[in-house]
Amino acid sequence: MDKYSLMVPNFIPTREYFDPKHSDTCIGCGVSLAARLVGKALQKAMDGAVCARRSGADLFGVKTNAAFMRVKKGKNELVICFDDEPSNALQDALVKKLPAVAVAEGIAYVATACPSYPFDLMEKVQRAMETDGSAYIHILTPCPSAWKYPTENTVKVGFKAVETLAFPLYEVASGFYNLTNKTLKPRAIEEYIRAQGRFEKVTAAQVKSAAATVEKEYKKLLEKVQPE
Amino acid sequence: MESKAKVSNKTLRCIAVQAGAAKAFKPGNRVVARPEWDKDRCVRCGICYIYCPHGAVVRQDDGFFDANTDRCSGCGVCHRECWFGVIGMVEEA
Repeated sequence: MDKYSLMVPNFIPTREYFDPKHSDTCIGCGVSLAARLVGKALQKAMDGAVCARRSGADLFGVKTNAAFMRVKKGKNELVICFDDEPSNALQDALVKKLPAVAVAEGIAYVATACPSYPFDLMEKVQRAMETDGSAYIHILTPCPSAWKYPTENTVKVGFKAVETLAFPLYEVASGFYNLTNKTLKPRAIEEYIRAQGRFEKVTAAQVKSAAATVEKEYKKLLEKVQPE
Repeated sequence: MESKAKVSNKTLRCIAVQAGAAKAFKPGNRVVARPEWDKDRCVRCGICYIYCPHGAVVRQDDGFFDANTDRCSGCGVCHRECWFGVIGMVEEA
């Protein structure tokens, strides 16, 4: 079997910068997975990082209950949002305000990421540290206890969110949009909604309107992406 | 070396179906199940290492992987994500 050994850990640092014992994480926590990957990407810069969760925190004029990590980089700041959708509303799961607001605020580097795509996430964090000016990264972190799905599915639900286009992965570097994950055959949004117990009461009509909103949002995004 | 522990790929008991049920478990607490690697079929790709939420999967000297008992919370993400179905969850006594 030696010739098949790929050794994925060779490409990333082996040191763990995130200790789950000192933080309040459940089993199969998506925030924990994302924070661990961010720590591996930041490495030494992780020393100046502050992670906090406050109810009604104000970021760019939008109030959220999500957890934030603030990393110093020179005079500027890198803000990472661990979005586990605390409001549990279907509309919040389909339309993300914060990345669009951050672009409008004139942040130099804005990106969306998901821990199901670990190398994509780590590359974006490194790119955010390299660019001049402040940066913002929005990470979708599935949460087994609030979203009500089996703990083993944390990564699978993240894949579904991206593949159904509910949470497209893109980055905006100085105003230029770039899709980092091109989904050629998107799955039906119903797969993502039915995978979660919190959307049990969502009716078939609501699923239809959800599909329409997702399609509309993705078209808006495609229009912003410059032709290659 | 064959591992003597029972490896069951079908059943998984460590499931929190209701909201808030997962909060009773903390990493390092008593765990319902732990991952067990089948070394005959493992290709040592390290997918389990990357996707472990608590960084519990440790690479040993021979290149195979094992779970750090202090950190592992038995969520079953590695069991689900393994491309070759090598990892089984063994119930704790």
